Formats: sequence, C-alpha cells, structure tokens
Amino acid sequence: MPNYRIPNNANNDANGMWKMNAVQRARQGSEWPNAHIPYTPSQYYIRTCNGYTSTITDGTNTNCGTSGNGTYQGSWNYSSSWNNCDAIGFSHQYTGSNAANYKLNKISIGSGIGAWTGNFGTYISWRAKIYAGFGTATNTIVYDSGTVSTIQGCNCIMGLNFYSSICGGYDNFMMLALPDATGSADPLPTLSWNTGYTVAFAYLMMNGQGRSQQSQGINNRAITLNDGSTVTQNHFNVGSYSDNSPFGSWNGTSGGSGGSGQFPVLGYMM
Amino acid sequence: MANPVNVVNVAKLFGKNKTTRPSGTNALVDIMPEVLSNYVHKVNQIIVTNNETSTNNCDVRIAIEFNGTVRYLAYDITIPYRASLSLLDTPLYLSYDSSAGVGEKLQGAVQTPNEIDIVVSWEEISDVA
Repeated sequence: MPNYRIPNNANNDANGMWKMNAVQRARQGSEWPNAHIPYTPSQYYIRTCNGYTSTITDGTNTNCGTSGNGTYQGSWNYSSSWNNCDAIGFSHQYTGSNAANYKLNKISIGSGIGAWTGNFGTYISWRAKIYAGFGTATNTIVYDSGTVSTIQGCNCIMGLNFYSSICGGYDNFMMLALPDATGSADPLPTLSWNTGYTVAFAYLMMNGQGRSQQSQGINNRAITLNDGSTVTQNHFNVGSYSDNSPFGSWNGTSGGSGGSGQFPVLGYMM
Repeated sequence: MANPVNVVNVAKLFGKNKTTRPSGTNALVDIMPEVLSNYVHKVNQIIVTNNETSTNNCDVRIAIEFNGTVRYLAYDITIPYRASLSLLDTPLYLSYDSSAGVGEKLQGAVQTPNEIDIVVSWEEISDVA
C-alpha cells in the first residue's frame, strides 16, 4: 500500500485498501485512476482483391456491391456442370492488446444472374460453413449456417438482399450476413488471431446462376481499427474439398494475385 | 416482540459472511440475502476488491433493494486493479417490513464481469427465541 493519502494515477499504484473518504479526496485531486472501458468490437471489412474496373474499398465500410467492381468472368450455380461451391482460407495477424478475438459475420459473392431472377419475391437458398484450418476435407466445422433463404432485391450491400440481375449490373458483388444462431444456424464462432480458417459458400437451388469475379487478388491486406491497432488479413487457396455435398466440389477462389473466384470482401466484428 | 426487532432484547445473533463475484455487466445481483421476519441485519463490512492482475480498473455499484426499489450506497466507484475499497465506516442496519411482507437486501453490480469480488459481513439479530 502506498505511504501517502492518495494514489498516484500516473504510476497506477493504487494497490491497497481504501476508504470512501480517501477515494473522494483522490477524485477531487484528479489522482484516482480512471474507469476501464472494455473493448467493444465494431464492424470492419477487409478485401481480398482490388476490384476490376473500380477499386473495392474496405475498413469501417465497403463499396462492395457498387456496380462495376466485379467482372463477368465465370458463372456458378447448383448444377453438375457448374461450380456451386467456393471457399477461401484466411487468418489474421493482430497488433494490439484490446481485441482478444474476432468473428466472421459477412461474406461477399458475385451477383445472381439467370433463370432465378423471375421476380423480386423469389428467395435464393444458400449455405455457408466455417472450418478450422485450411480446407474442407478433414477439418472441424466450427460454423454451419444451415439453409438460408435470402430474397432477391437491388440493395446488394450489407446483407439486405440477394442481388438480382433484374436490377442490372451483372458485375456487382453482394454482401451476405451470416445468420447468428437464428433458424438452424449455429452461433457465429469466436475466432483466434494467427489461426487459419476456411469459409465456404454453396448454392442450394437450381435454375439460376451467380457470377464470379476476377479477383486481381492481393494478400497481406492490413486495416487499422478505431483504437489504432492493425489487423492484417492473409488468405489462402483451398485445395481440398471433401465435405458432404454441396461442399465437396472444387472451385477457384485464389489467395494469390491475379486469381479469380468469390469472397472479394469479408466482413468481421473485431 | 418481532418486527421491528428490539435489539436490547437479543435472543439470537448469528455472524454471517457472503462473497460474490458478479458475472454480468452492470447487472445488480444479491450480495447478501433478504432480511427475514423477526430479524434485523447489522452490516459491519462491505469490501470491494478488484481481482485483476492486469491494468483493468473496474467500476462498482452497491445498492439497497427493498420491494423492487433500488437505492444506491455507491454508484460507479472506480476500483483500481489490485485495490480494495472498504465501503462502510460505520455499521448499517437492514430491516424487515411486516406491512410489505419483505425485507431489505444488498445488491451489487460491476462494469466488467468477474473482475470484482464483493465481501459482505453482517450479524443476523433476532429478539425471538
């Protein structure tokens, strides 16, 4: 216990037993330590590619969904002749002390096109999983969205709609919110820094197509959080697909430069 | 006698103690039981300790709850990490209200879960043998 009446705030040496009067005097003298404000996670976005004809932005917001930042390259749907599943591996490096962990809560994919765009009342079924480590072969499933039905619409940002080509602009991306313990979905898992994970998306319905994109991929993408700490996202190719259908197929999201596929932006609470 | 208890004619006196580590965020929890009929509680000591070994200071609230109404003895007092606060300089009496059919009790809340330990020491006094 310090040998003076009030603690020295600068030295954090308030250890000891105190009476209310001492606390009051210390407060009046601006020497009582300030309250600790627990770290509160916020929404952030980190891109895996630069965008094609227009640049994708990330950080506290993203323009993923803005017309023109994807390409027409490739298509996919729930069909034996098309890829209906895609996955990407990721891990995060963190430089700071406040955020103990993070959650992946949003994924982006190319816009829907083709036959399922008959009207805005049409729901598109999909499913997403998160695996520990890189790959879907023998890895532990830490999250399963179950079957999700998302209605078509023109607002392709922030998970409001499944973006439809009825609105025009096949080269848009859309951001899908992963359900958090709603319906048959698992709770979003708490993820650890410097640890590899894989997120996979699959269409669960036929009669439609979704665009992929040419990623012009980047790696080691770093963003700065509000408290000044830095998160660097590394992403990786996934070469092993052998989970149950529809997650047993293969597709080509690339963690390297110049690749193509899905997941141009990933959204996190961190 | 009975309610209120006549402390001149004490028939029973039990020394009691309760320790609590609140696990919610700013959510009041009981840190001592409600006073029962024919009893009065003489609270001798309330010690609040920040058990963190890191540098996390933490705010604490201590209140008297009676029949759903909460009145605070202390509100958002910052407890520095590894420090303790002796909240009472003199004893505090909590009683039972026979007209309402309920007694008073102490409650506590903390800013950050599991960072604060609250120790309450009291005497349960009754004049009914």
